[in-house]
Amino acid sequence: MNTTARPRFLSALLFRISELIAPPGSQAWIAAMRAESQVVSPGSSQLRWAVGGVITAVRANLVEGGGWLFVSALSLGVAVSYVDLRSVSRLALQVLLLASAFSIGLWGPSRAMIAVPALIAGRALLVVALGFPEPYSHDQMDVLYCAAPAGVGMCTGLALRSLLRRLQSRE
Amino acid sequence: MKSTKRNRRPSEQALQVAACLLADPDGWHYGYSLSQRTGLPSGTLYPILMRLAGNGLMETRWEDPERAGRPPRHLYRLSGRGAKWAREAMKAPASLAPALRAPLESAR
Repeated sequence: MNTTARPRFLSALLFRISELIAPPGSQAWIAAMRAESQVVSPGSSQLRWAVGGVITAVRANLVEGGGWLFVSALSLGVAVSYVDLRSVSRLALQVLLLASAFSIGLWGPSRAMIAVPALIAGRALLVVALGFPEPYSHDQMDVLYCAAPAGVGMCTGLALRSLLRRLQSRE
Repeated sequence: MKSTKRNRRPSEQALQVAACLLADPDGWHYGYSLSQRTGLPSGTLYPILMRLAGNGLMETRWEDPERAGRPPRHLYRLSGRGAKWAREAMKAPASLAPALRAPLESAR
């Protein structure tokens, strides 16, 4: 991959993510930004323009009701992590996160892209707020116990949603 | 995007965009040229454009593609109400940096 192909690939990827995050009412604006990126000089400028697309999509999502969803998911993340910190097994937390992220994924990509990161961030927030209680001071990779089930749940939910929509359109 | 019901004072960046659009109120402007002229990154510029359009202060249209295979570009200009709003907003010279007033004054 040469020096201009990589930023072009990355910016295309970022615009795809922006399309997933942006609510239906803002899709045309993301398309406008994508079209405009064709005239931005290739390289880091084009990449910066594409990062702006993600920022615009997130902001639009938060303005169009996603703010409540973000706060709710963050609260859920904090709540389940609080229970986990006082439990001997992580299984309950992982199952709950998997199920929550799966449900959010089924709900739609624009909601999932806001809510699932908030769900994961809830744990980090609690851990920081409580002053890194054990076992987090021993295991830096502990955040994966939260991110992995949430990520798998979201991807499965999104995949199932996509499959169901395809089957529906065939009928 | 939902229109903002509250009558808040526009941000400095929104005034910058409004000043650029007001410099040529009848002409259509590209997003990239607005970004270059205001110095605003796309992640700041586009939410402002979305807000202006959502509040009926700006008109938008899609341009025909210049070349086959290229997506059509989006164009912007202030609506009549938007031009009036921008002129009103610019009437607070003390709060505006000279750089913000320059495009407006050159348009007079």
